Amino acid sequence: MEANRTKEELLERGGKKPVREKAVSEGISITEAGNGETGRRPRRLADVAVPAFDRRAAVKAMEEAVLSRKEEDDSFLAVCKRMFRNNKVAAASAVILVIYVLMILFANVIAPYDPAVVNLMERLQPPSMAHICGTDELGRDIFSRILYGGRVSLLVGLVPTSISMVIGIIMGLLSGYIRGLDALIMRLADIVLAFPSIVLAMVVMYTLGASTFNIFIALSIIGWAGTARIVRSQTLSLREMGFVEAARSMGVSRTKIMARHILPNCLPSLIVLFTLNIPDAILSESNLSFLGVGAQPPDTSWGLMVSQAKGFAISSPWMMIFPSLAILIMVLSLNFLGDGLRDEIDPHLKK
Amino acid sequence: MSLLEIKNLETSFFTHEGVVRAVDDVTILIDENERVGIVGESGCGKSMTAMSLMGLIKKPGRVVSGSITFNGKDMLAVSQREKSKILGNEISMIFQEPMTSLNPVITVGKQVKEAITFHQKDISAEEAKRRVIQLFEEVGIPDAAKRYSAYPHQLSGGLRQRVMIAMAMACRPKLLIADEPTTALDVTIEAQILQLMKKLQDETGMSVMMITHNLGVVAQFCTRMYVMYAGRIMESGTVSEVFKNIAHPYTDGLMRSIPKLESRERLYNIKGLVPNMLDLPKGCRFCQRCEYSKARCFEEEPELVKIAPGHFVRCFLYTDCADQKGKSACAENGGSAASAPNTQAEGGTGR
Repeated sequence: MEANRTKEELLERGGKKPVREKAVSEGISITEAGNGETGRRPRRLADVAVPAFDRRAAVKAMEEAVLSRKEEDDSFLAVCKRMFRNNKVAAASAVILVIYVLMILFANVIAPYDPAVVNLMERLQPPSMAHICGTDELGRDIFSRILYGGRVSLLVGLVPTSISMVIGIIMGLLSGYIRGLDALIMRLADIVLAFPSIVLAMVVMYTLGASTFNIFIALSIIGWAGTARIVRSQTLSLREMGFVEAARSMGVSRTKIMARHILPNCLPSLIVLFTLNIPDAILSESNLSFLGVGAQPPDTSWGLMVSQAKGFAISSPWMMIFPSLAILIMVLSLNFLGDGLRDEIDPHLKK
Repeated sequence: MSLLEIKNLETSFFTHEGVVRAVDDVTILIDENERVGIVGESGCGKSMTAMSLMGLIKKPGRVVSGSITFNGKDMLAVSQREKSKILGNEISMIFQEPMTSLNPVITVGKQVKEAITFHQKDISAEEAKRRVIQLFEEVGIPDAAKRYSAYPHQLSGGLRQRVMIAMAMACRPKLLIADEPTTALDVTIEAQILQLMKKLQDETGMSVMMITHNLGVVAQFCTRMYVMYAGRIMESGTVSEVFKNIAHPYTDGLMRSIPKLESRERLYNIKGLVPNMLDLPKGCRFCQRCEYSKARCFEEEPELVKIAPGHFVRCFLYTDCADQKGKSACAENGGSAASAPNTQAEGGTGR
């Protein structure tokens, strides 16, 4: 390091007060770090040997360094970067998810067989070189079907969960913070929760017709109420906290208090909730498919594949194992990723 | 005209059990460059007076009558937008609990910076940050620049309170309301914080409204004081006058309840509890606990009367001489009479 070298130089040349010089050299090194200059300026003794240690200058230099340092970035990208650095499991999960997405996107390139072509000669084949995940009762290649089915499952896992959580967060914040809306929103949530969710989703699907887009709508409608309740309960306790009152005493508006003070304090539990909701949505979709209103043949989805494999669970277990593995690995990766993100966002958990 | 004029303020809470008059006919004047103390035990309405002024009274409470004029503006009539310009900018508040008054998920530097940028839109981010560090230095936070990016839980109670003070001072308010700012702190820190606030008050010429239950704080910090009891002002005057000639039996009781090193006596305590605010006595609110109460005290309530220049008391001991038998305390007798309970206190402890 530059600073150490400077100090050694000083000592070599017979610096009288090494401690003091050390401080000076450190002061300089801070200045340098602050200015982002790593030049070799303090080579000559004349530049370094300040007669007395100017504490004020050193402090000032430190402040400058802090000032010029970028504020800890709270943007999503920066959080992800920090997470990659600090949490290897979460980073690995992120990589796995990216691979998933790529495989599913390029299913038509990767898949060795057409997922819809029936080949009764090769029905119920165990995993082999030809069919790495085996074949199903109609002789279709399971690996290819997993790749194509992932298109539906991934979309159904992510899109309606995101939509329902956004709705749920807004509803929960409004209901918890603005007392006048509380009863109205919570009764709406009660209505949604009072129906068995699958029945409600089926009603929506039958009214709108079976299509992937309509699955999004149906699952969003049934999903928001749970999130809204969780956000509301947290808002109710947070709104009584001192910092909300302090913000109010500073004249901060209600919208800004909700967005800046209450929502960030709910984030850790929301991230966990998100990773729990995704497998829920995937399974709900498989239920809908099973009832004939979800993914329509020849399309398939992981949930549908698992439920179709039910009758063959003992005789041909690979039919069930591989789609289940696909769901399991994705859910686990999402969980680890969510935990990693939460650890980065929640300041109490920071090192 | 005074900077702040609270006149005949009444703030009530409309609960299911009945109407609670938390603040009843309170008149408080605060001039520019003045340090005013408001003293009283828990639940006497001191904080509610401040909350009424800030417009932070929550349902089911509201300001029923009276007027609050700040700097010539009627605080009860200004629009929400106007109010958010005044709060935090011209009036700011320090809260009792430094532990909960800061948002745990935002760095303290950012929180103070927001207080600045919220009211001064044209200030650059760089400049605001510099101001925050300068403020941190002003309030005596060591390593101000380093603390900028600390989270609240990484700071001690004293440091957090300093951050709160920095935030309150951020826009150079005309009036600083300190709601028991030292209650949660230990004595050494309390002294430091009081000194700091005094210094800041001297430098900026703002007014301070110090809400406290600690007479020591008032003696040390304030120039004028109001003593509140059960929503009413019982005694008011300059600190030197009130401490010299304690007039009201309640103030006297508070004084005698302070432990003294030289005295070997059992510590005095005011008998009984604050009356139930739902069921106040018909006469003087202090009558049940007062050592000097007479039949009349239970029947009607005394008015606030002047017993010396700038010294007002709400007690029959000073309004009519007819009822006085053994005691010489009477308004007409001026200063010497005003010390009735005081002399009693000194003589009485010997008994």
